Amino acid sequence: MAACSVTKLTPPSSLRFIVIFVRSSVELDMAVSAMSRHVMIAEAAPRLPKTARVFVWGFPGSKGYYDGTKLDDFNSEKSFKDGFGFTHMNTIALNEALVHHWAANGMTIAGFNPGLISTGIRDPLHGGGCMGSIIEGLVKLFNPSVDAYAKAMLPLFVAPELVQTKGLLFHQDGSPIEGSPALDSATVEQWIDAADSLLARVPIAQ
Amino acid sequence: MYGIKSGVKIARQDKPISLAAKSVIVVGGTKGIGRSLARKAAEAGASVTVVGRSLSEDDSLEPNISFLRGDVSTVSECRSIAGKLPFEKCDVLAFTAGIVPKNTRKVSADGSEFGKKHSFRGRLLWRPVL
Repeated sequence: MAACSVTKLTPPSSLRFIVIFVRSSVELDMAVSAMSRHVMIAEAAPRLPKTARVFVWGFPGSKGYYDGTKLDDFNSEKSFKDGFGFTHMNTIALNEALVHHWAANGMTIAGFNPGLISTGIRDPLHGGGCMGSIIEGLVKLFNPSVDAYAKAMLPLFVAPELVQTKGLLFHQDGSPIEGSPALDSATVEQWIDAADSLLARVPIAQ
Repeated sequence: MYGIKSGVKIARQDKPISLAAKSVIVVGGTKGIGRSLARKAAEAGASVTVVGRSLSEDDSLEPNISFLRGDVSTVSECRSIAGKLPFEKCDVLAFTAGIVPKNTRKVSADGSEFGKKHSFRGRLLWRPVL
């Protein structure tokens, strides 16, 4: 067994050092909507069969969303915006970046933009109740039901095109859509780096 | 540009597809889009593992759906869940869990776990004090 040696470092007498631990907590939306995927895909990648498909739901490719992101405040530590403000837009950017990053690394992965589908996800914003019913009623009027949407996406679970072309993004109707123009390969890696940097600052129970 | 690739067309499938012998994992499959995806995949014959905080009684009766309780709001729990999931046999891994933030900033419970377990990876900044 290799021995472990410890060298004691003595700082110059003119200097005293203090150690500052900078730790963060993950903003809840970032944690649930994006970092969970970042962590679990990384854990899954070495164990998944080569034929496996990974699908990420978010709002990739939405026009103009990237303009609302703040990469320099990835975890909303300097400021915070509720609803569909930059805090949530940052989660969308990381999700889209995950699709592009892992596709570039050979994973059969795709992103899904469901658009407006009536689920309970907006309840915290409109509070459910009477106003919520009106809003969700309007959403249902102009969009497929959640079951109809799920049924329409099911063929993509086995569509051969996804293996031939990795990193596709899909609209509500299952047609491929363009990614955010701002997310070039260098920017994708900046978002991945921001997620890794946050992980390094989070006190995580092992 | 990423996303749409020139020449890529997805053939439309109008007749029901079969997912028999397929293994599907849906993270966030107890509500919303994830729940519908899990149920439709199970109806199509797939063996579905749903990860979420609680499974409805209806879903628990589905013969093709198994449930793994887990809360993906903390990094440590995500790693724990990942350790339990049968990725080696997985054909489709779908991530649907998501929220929209309310009017105050909330944080995951990862920080509070530090206080209990004193296990932490952090960034060290060495600053000279003159």
